[in-house]
Amino acid sequence: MAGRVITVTSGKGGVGKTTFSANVSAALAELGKKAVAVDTDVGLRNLDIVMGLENRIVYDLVDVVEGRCRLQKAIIRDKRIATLHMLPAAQTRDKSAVSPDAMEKICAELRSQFDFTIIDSPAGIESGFQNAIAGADEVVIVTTPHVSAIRDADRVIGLLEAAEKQQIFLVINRLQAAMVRRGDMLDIPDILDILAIELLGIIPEDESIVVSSNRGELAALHAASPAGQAYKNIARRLLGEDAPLMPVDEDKGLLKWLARLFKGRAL
Amino acid sequence: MSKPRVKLSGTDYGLLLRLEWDSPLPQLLVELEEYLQQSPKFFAGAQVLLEIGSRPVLQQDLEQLAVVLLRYGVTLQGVVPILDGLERRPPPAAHAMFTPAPLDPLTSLHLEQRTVRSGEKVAADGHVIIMGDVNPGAEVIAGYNIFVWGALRGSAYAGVPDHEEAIIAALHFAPIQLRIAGHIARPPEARPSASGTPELARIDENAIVVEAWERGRGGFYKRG
Repeated sequence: MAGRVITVTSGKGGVGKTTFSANVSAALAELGKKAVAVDTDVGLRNLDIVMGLENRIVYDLVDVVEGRCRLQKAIIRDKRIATLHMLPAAQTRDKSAVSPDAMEKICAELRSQFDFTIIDSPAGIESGFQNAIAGADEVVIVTTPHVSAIRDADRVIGLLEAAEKQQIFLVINRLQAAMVRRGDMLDIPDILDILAIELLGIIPEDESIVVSSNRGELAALHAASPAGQAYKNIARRLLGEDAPLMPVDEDKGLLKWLARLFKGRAL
Repeated sequence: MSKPRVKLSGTDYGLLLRLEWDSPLPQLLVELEEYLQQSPKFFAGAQVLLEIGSRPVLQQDLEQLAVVLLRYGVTLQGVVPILDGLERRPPPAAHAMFTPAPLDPLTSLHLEQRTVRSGEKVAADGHVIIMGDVNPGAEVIAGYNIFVWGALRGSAYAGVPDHEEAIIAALHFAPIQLRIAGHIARPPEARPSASGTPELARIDENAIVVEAWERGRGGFYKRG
């Protein structure tokens, strides 16, 4: 099997990388793909909490890198979806415990076992970021419609281009429909104009994400959550299906606005 | 290994190229090419003199040699008889030997064909042309003019350090900060974000002014 290794990164912290990684992995798994979410945020591990798998960790990424256990032993299998897995980061170490070379080896192994390896990266552009992108075939940039997040995303795209990553996709997270209608939020065309990479999806602001993340429940597995719906759409788009860029049940006005927006754009 | 059949050495007169003239020309060309291939970047931009001794050399042979040299960016300056003794002085340090002739900054162009993103910097002594956007947080620095065939949303510093005649032009003009020679400007807060027409900035009476490019006004030059 030759699976896809996709790194999720952003530059800026707090834009929703971990929630995205957890939910898109879950959505892919629910679509029948064998998926593993990998936490590379050594020392600030979070993915396990968002996925509700914290209490099942025995071994972690650093144990694998340092040869204390085999990769298989560190991977946790989710009990809700049989095809969903997670490889946790170490909490008591720091980024120097992993190297880009080690990550490339681990990614190669994961690529042979999983349809999708989703790598959640730490914030920043330092060694942790370099580790996270080392083995990636594709990269998803998560940003929010805030100037600072977009500036950091642009910086990261520049670094990825310099690292000769060819496939870079954009996800705009936490879009507030009401603010967009009032014209108070940064325009999506402006964001696309600056970042100039392919848009993979738009995730609406959704308060229920806070609750589900805190509880370790995955929004992508709940039909009622608009953000969960967006994660599912993104998973389908990753599989090459023609899913909408944004959940359609949100609002007719916004939908019309978006339709106008993307008219003539090759997406 | 026999002694090198192609040799380049530094002399007081510049770089001297020596060939073993006992071989026929086609072989000389091959040997020269092999020699240049060893480190093509090293030779690029160099100018050399060819030592021909006292033998008659045909113009067409010289032309063929010059063509091979030129392929590696080496210019044949001329031919000299044997320069025995000239290279007795120690050659200058290698990096000095191969420094390409300085480009005229007024006519040298640096072309960047990409989006210059946040945190990236493009700098050159001459003119800089960006085919693409300059994003917020990016910097473009030029000794003379800056042209952005795209959107200028970052910072542009033209005429560094003191060329007051330098200009900055962009199709979509929305920079964070501009500098020309010693002058600094930032767009006024009230400025509507880019007018939709190409604009250019220049120094006029000791301040940077930005104006729309208009057809039929004689290009980029000052009026009056």
